[in-house]
Amino acid sequence: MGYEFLSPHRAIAQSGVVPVARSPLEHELRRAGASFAVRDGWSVATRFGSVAAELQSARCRVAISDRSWLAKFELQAPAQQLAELAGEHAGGALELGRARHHDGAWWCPVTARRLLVVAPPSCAAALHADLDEAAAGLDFASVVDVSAGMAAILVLGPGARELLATLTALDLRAVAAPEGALRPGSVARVPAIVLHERAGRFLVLFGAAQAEYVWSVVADAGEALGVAFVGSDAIEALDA
Amino acid sequence: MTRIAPQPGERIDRRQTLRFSFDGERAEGLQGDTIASALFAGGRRVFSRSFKYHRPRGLLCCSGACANCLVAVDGRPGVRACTEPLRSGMRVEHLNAWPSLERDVMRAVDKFGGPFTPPGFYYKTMIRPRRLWPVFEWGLRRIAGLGRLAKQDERQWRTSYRRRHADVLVIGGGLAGMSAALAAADLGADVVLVDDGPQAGGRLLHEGSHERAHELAGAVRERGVEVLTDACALGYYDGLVPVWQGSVLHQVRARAHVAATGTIDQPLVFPGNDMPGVMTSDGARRLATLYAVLPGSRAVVATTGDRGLHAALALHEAGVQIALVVDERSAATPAATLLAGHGITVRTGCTVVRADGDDAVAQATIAQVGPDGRPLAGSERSVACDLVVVSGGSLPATSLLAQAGSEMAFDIPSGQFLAGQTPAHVQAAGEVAGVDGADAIELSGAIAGARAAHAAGFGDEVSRAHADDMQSALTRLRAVPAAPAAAPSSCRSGKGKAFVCLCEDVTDKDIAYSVAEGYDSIELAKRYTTVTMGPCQGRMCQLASIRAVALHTGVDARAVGQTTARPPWTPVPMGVLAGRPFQPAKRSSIHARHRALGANVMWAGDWRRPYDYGDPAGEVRAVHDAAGIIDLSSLGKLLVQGPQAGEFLDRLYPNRFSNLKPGRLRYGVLGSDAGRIMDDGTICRLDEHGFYVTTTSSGAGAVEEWFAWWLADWRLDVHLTDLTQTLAAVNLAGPQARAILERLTDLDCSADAFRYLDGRRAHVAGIPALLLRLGFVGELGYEIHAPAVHGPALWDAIVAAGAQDAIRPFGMEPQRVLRLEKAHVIVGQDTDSESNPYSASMSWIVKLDKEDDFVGRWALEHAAVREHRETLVGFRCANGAAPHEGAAIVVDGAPAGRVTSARFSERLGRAIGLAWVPTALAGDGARITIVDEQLSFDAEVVIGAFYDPDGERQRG
Repeated sequence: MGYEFLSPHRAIAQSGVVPVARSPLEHELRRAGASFAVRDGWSVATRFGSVAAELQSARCRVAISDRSWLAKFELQAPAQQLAELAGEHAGGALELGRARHHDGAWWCPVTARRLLVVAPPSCAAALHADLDEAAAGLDFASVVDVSAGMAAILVLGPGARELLATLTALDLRAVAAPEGALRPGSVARVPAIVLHERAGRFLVLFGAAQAEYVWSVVADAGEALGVAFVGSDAIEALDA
Repeated sequence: MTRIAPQPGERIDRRQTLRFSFDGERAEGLQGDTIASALFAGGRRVFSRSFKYHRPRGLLCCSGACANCLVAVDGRPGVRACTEPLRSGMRVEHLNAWPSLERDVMRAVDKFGGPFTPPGFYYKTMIRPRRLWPVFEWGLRRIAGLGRLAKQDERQWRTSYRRRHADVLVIGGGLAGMSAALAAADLGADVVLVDDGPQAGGRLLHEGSHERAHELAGAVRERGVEVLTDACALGYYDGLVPVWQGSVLHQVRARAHVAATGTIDQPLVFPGNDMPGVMTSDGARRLATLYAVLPGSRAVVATTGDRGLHAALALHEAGVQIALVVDERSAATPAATLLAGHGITVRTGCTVVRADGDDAVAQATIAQVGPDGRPLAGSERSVACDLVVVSGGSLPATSLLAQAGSEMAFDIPSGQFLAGQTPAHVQAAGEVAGVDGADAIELSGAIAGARAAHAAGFGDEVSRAHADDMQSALTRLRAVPAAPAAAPSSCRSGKGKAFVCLCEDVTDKDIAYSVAEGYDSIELAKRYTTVTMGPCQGRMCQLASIRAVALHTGVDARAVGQTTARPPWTPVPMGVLAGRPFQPAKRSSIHARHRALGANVMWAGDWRRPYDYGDPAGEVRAVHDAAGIIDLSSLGKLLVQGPQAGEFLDRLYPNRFSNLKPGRLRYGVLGSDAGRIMDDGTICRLDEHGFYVTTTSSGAGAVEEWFAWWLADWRLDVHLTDLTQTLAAVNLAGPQARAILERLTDLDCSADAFRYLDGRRAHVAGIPALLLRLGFVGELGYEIHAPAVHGPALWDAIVAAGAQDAIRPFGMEPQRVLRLEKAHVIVGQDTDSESNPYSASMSWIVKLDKEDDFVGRWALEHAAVREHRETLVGFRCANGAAPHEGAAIVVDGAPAGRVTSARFSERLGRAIGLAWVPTALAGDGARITIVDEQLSFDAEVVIGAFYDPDGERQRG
């Protein structure tokens, strides 16, 4: 069985039903009125009423969206070997402080010897297999599925940076943290990683057990800015 | 009503009347008024009572610098009425007078209390007889202080932090500050401009240049500068400047700073200088210009510089009758000539030497200053007036610069400390740097802004050369002699209190006493008399206090020096500094189920965990008789992988793990360098190179750090991954546990196939899981670890599968009872930082025959052969009552140990526990006495488990 006990996507059918993975934020999202659908083995909050209204908020003010269902894999290897692996699979060399988006995944160098790969759940199994294969070719490398261990919130909109300014001392100005910037630091007093996906869009990753706390703090801080909760439907529309 | 005709640049909107109350009486003002300007326009002259003497105080500075107008607004004390914008419906009240501002009984202190309240009186009076101190304290608490806070539950104020990174921070939005901001922005810097007024412009706004102020402010905004108004920079902390704005604390981190903080108009020291009707020249001008309120009808103006002369002219134009102007300088300046052209007499070489009146100024006495600094005989003359406008020079607001490491330079003619050499990333601009005259101030601002931008990495050779050119131009400008202000003398006349510090009611005589008693440095005098320690923080009194110490010690002011500048520069509410309270909480992915079941939730470290589900005794019974399920997701979990993983663990733990077979578990006690117990848990070998380590919930972070630290030192081929939050974990325990599990998995769960201390990987209810067969609670049990995102589904499936067996959830409290019945130790509860495995009755865990070294080995080798004073043992009480944890083990009347855990066990019918006892009593059956406050318990020592001592139930 290996280390399958770590991977949400390794669930199998029991009495004809495959257990659905649930975000650590599901309770909060349901309370906020989210509608859910099962996508790629996850129960995903798709909308909070009107997608049009959510899009408006995301474009004009600030919005937050649960992205905890993203697949996350941690690779560890000696620095040189990790760099070579990244060069082959991540579309180019990686530099600390900068993530690279390649083939739908974010390749995030946390340290010289530790890499976090964040990807849509639809490619989790294939990516996991690819990473295992790549790691097997190295002297000593490990791949661990930490998808369930990290929650993720997307903060987007013109007010995204202003909202984050109430929660973190990280310098997220474009000049200091351009697109692709990866910044570990404290957000709302918990260890987190902030990824500047693109202009006005920040992915905040943190420990899953703190999800409810972080979401409540972010939502509360965003109230003065008119924050709206946004489901995956609106995000897909924005990405289209 | 003292409202005058519309003034250019006034802030009020005469079309909108606002109604409010003051001390319960109706009052009104105009939109744009401050509380003070509205009340003053309505005829109020007394705004507060002074701190010690309860003397009536009126408006002085009208800029928020002094403390004369502190009031309470809607129950919130400490509000400066002269800067607080008026709002409709406000409830304004005075602070420290009883029964009213007009008739305050504590005025008796002023009239009669002088001998009892010298400086430092609290060290000398009210200390004998000692038994009366509670009475004195009761009284002092009632009369001291400035207002009262409403009770906690009546106060609600939401504050927050905002972090702002910038290239250049400019503090001060006057002419120099705006010029600096523009220069820095023009070079491409990201600039933040902070000003404590409601709009940028500084003195331009009330000195007849409001249009220029608006023009500059507009240009600043167009350049993209972020302007924060009504914002106070509180201090300088190694590049971090907290800025207080309303309910927000901006934490501004900039690469370079410009302090354009200006100067503060200073009062003069003379008997009666604290009376209502004495105002600084800036204060009087603000009232007239910004709020169209006449500060008085007939004024005497006393000045030591042109600032006061300009004020005299402005007040004359506003409609104040200027009875007389006295300028302490010996020669008339062009400004004096201008006044003369308006028929206003300016007497040089003269100053005001006293003010008199009942509760407000009615006359001022002026005199010529003699060569000895005293009034020249025969030169005194009294002038009837209701307003004394004073300008005793100015205090450069250098506090932030000093905090940033700037040196202060003493300017002899003006007797003030100016900003001198500043650190590379800090610039001083404008009057704070001793620059005066509008053109020079603006130029100095531009230079400072450019240099700050350069320090932040902007600009090029061309811009640097331009800055140098501007500096040359400034030097030329400053070469033209101006008419500097003179340092005020100490010329005064007659008796009466001459206040150096209005906030703390410190008089010139108090400073003299302080020096006479040996507190003759500025730092000692400050601490002894509390001068400069009031709400103004020295804004109105620092220079006066330095001059007073100089006068009474005979040392010149430069040698006296300044006190150390410390933040906060302005009083700030504690709530602003605290910000929003964050209380990070970790919750299991199954937490919603516990909430739905009505669990009593408590803090366990930084986790929220179920204490019980309302029936702890019933939950214990369920585990013993059928089945129970507990959420253990908070357990620390570490994945240790690599070809040297076994060796790594052997080095960390006192027992062995490299010989553990794949699929087997072993208990481990983690020790420190000194052989003390740090943490415990189980380790399961997953495969040749993989180990799964569990830790206590509260120790997870520390253990991960410990592992990482040693790994960095030993550089073994090992990878660590913290899985604490990745995996949910539940313990299914009880005689029916196997049966329940078998309904959910294809794994062979028979006793032979899945033995005690085996680890297996299988799907449970379709969920990939790691199952560990162990027994913390003493019954047949399985820990099931699965991806946290499947935690709720796992819990639901087990509960559904166990419904026919009456499975019950159980919380931390029943778990404590169950594990105590097995005498299982909880590290941190039953052990402390001194406990080692030998004294904790766990000698079996230490394998000193390991060939290689391990952490703490040297200490354990010593501990193995030494007697330990105390030993951890179980005990059983003679009766059903359980002592409290922490109760003492008493031998021969003296404490000799302590209880660490104790509960009543329904299953055993007795109270049981764990305790540290003298080793001599650590034998099975030994009698011990426990004393718990007034109660005494007889108990006997029990070695081993109380319940199922052979472990048949958990190993079956």
